Amino acid sequence: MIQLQHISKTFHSGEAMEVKAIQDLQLKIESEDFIVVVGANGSGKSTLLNLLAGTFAPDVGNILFDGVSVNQLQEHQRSKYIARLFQNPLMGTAPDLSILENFRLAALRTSSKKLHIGINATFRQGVADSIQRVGMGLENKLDTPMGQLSGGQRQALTLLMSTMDNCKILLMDEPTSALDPRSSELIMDLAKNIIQEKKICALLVTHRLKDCIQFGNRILFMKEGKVEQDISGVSKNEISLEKLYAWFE
Amino acid sequence: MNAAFLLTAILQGLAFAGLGYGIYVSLRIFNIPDITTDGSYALGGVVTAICISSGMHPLYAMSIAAVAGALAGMCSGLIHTKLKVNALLAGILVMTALYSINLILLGRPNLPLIDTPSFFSLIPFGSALSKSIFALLAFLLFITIILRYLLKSDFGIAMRATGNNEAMVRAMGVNVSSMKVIGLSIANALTALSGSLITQYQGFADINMGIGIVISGLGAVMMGEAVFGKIIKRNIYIHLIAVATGCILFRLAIAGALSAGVDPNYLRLITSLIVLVIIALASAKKKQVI
Repeated sequence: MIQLQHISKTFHSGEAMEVKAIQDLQLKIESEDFIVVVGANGSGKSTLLNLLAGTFAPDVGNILFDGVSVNQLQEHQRSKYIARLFQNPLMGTAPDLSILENFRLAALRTSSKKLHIGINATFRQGVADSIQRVGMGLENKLDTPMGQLSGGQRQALTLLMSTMDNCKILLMDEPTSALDPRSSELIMDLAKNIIQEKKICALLVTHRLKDCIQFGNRILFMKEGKVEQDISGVSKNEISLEKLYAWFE
Repeated sequence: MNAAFLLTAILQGLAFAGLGYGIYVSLRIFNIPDITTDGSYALGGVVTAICISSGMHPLYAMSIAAVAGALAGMCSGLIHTKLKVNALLAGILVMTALYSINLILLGRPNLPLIDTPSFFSLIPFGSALSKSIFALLAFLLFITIILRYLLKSDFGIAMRATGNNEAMVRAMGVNVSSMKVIGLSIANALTALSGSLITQYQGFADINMGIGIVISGLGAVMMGEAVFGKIIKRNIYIHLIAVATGCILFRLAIAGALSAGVDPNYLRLITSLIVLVIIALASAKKKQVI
């Protein structure tokens, strides 16, 4: 469903601090893949996600969604297919807007934002129902500004928001590294359920090797801008922490 | 301070509500201190004076003034987003250019409006004073309702989120650049309307009328917010009313200074000092205001 053909991306090209973030990367991602991406710092994991999201374009190569090149599409245009969850739990929501207004914006992710007032009783009820599933009691605080919630609460709501409109791809860049263990667990369980329910293609960048075992159907190990290991199926199910750890040697 | 002096300050404050709302949109919603304001305020006044003195209906004149202001804001927005120029600098560029444009349009440094109809004379009843009061209140009510509706609409939510969290808004499929251009257009249209009303109120347009007006607008917004305190966060109506109140209070502060015998030549110094005092008070409370 997603194809990356001979992708290369270099930062600060020609300067002393030149970084070859991605080098001639070839990758095929199926529409129901849940891929856990691991690798040392600077191995190109985040760059890969940014390339998919369209934060920047590759220097060389082609990115295809369903066979169509998306190289020319900018980030806000690709958001039609892609939802993102960032490491910083504050990045996915607008702090001065209420919970309800944040959800309204998310509901319109793939459509135009018109000059009519879209928040009505039906919409309010729908948001309350969907928030109820995270069990934080936030369904009674819909008019509270997002900025007053904790990082964990905001990350949970970001996840709900980003997947409420029919997104096809969910990109998660260390979504729980800034959260306490309990919130982390809650977020990851929620993500897992949503991905299964909605049959979304997902990529999870993580430094927690346990995530590789717990989540996903496929593991990518990246090193120096290339995919060093790509395992799925039985070999993914049988992988051990020790073996994963050995990849980093 | 005598009653007539006080009343004049209040009426001026009401006419400045458009300016206050303009600054509210650019500064509070988009986090851009928009210097274009100085130019678009004068542009609004100049366009109105030309249109009305050539026999145009005051409401048409005001509409054209608003469109002219929007175009000025659009220029700043495009320079800022397309050429990646710092927003402050983009505003200064357009403001500087507008000074010449206003002079070319007007053909001379000022244009008096003598025995011409105005927005105030459209009110069919009452004395000159009550016409002014009624017209200005009607205007304030009108732009408050329109602006509040705009900000509560789906489009407005996207607009408010743009100044709040650009990365998030981009991920929600919003074109941040267009949003900023539209935002600055709206802000400067509102500012131009203030210029238009003041021109009609004082009976002339002057090429220098916009100098330093952005500071008055900033001061008014901050004053209103300081007086209303935390409750402005509760809803948009309250925030808008706070801004409008700030416009009146700011005029009263300046009128107070003048009636206390301060030389009118020191007017802009006084304006800056008042704004500085508000900033200092807010910063003493560890609150960032700009």
